[in-house]
Amino acid sequence: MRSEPVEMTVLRDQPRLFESRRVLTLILMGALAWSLLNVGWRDGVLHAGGLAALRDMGGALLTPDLSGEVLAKLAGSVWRTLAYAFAGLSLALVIGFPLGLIASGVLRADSGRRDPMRWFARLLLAGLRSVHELVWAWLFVAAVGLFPMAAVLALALPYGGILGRVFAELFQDVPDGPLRALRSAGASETQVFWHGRLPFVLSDALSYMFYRLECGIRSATVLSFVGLGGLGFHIQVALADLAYSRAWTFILGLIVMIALVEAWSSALRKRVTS
Amino acid sequence: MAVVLDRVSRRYGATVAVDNVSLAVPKGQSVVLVGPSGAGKTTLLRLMAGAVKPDAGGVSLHGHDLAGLSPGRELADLVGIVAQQYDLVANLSVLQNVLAGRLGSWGLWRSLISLVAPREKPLAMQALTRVGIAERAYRRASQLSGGEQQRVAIARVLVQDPEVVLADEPVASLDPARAEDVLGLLTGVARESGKTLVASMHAVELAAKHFDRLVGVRDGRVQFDATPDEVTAEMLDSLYELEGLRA
Repeated sequence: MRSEPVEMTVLRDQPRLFESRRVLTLILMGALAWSLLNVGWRDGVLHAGGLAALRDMGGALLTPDLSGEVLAKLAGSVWRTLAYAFAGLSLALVIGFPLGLIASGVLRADSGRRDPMRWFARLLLAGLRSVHELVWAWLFVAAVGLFPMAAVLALALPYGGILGRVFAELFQDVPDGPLRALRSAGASETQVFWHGRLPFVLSDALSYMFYRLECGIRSATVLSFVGLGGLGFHIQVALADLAYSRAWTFILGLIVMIALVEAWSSALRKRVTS
Repeated sequence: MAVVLDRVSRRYGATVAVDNVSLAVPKGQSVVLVGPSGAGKTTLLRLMAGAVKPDAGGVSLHGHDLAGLSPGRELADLVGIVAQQYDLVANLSVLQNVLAGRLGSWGLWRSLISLVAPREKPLAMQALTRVGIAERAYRRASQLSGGEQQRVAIARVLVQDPEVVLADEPVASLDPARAEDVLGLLTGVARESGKTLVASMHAVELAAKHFDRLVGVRDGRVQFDATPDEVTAEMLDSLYELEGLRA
């Protein structure tokens, strides 16, 4: 193929003082300064005993409550939080993978952006992820009551929407060379997907899923504030009791749990990529 | 005739990539298109692969007009491609990459099962043995060197078993010693299995050593068509000389 004779007259953007973006930045900074000046700093914006409370909390970090009773509660709630996250993410995968696959439009060589199936899948994914898991949780708790399934569904729907969108982009973004080679060997677009696109994105998809699992654990913790049990519930109760040492036990438990998942995911990723 | 181009033209926008080219390649011959970059070699190969439709003229392989063939099994039985580097699926094993040559003959289920429990493994191992890297079968394709990757691509086309093999700059990204090896392997494999081979290259001396016939291409036209013995220094000079320096 010969290269087109391209005549390049590139007009480099000169830095301009009154570029609209800069003007906007200035206006926003002005607005921020003005709003700060208008805060009545003396009229109870800052909690008077806040500093003392902060000191208490910090001190308690060094002396987490490690009594048998609290540790047993910790183990139970860690287990429950993990179960929510895993179940939610598994269901999210079941939702996100097929929808992402349809939304990417890679299964049909002639699929345009206006393909109705594709358009519908994208709309569905956008709808699922535009509502936060906490809002889904309220909805499900209102609908079916305080059942574990409410937490699982609340996680699965928005996460399915996010996974589907990320998968769709990954599936589209595969270098053309290997795919062309598969097609020239007579492979259909479906075969090209399973033998070319999927192996190519597998490690990226896996690492993104693990990142989402981490997010899921944190989300499941927060979800339990709604009353669904788990780590967050115990943190909430401990804080209400001003039992900072006990609260730290659960927060440290959360951190350790996330660190363990992180270690597991990097070990697994190493196995897939090397 | 294995490959027939009949007064074929193809343009991209205002540029004429291939200009009224006629070429006939008998079955079993190995032909190399030589010429400077942008001469139209790749477009000619893509026309023969059915990947690009001609604006004028016709292309046929073994008597089948390519205009009437859609991509898929029929086309894959006629023509296979060994491209420049980087056309293997890097994350799959060498074995899986070779077996991909069978995808056109397999149904979807068979190909899915094969991802877990490889089908027709003996066929793939035979091909890998032929190209000399059977011991690498379970490595990931990305762990192989450039020369080894080209061997895998050759094994894949062996397993695909088309009538005509097209190779676009098959050794462009290899060092001279590897290039010599891989080119010898490619032409040798084609010769012993009676396949027709059409390649493109710009290293003329290397090409002359391995192919039956050299076709010089410049500005989208055939400038000479000769056996390696008949090619003279003058022919090559006029093929490669720069536009501005032409007397």
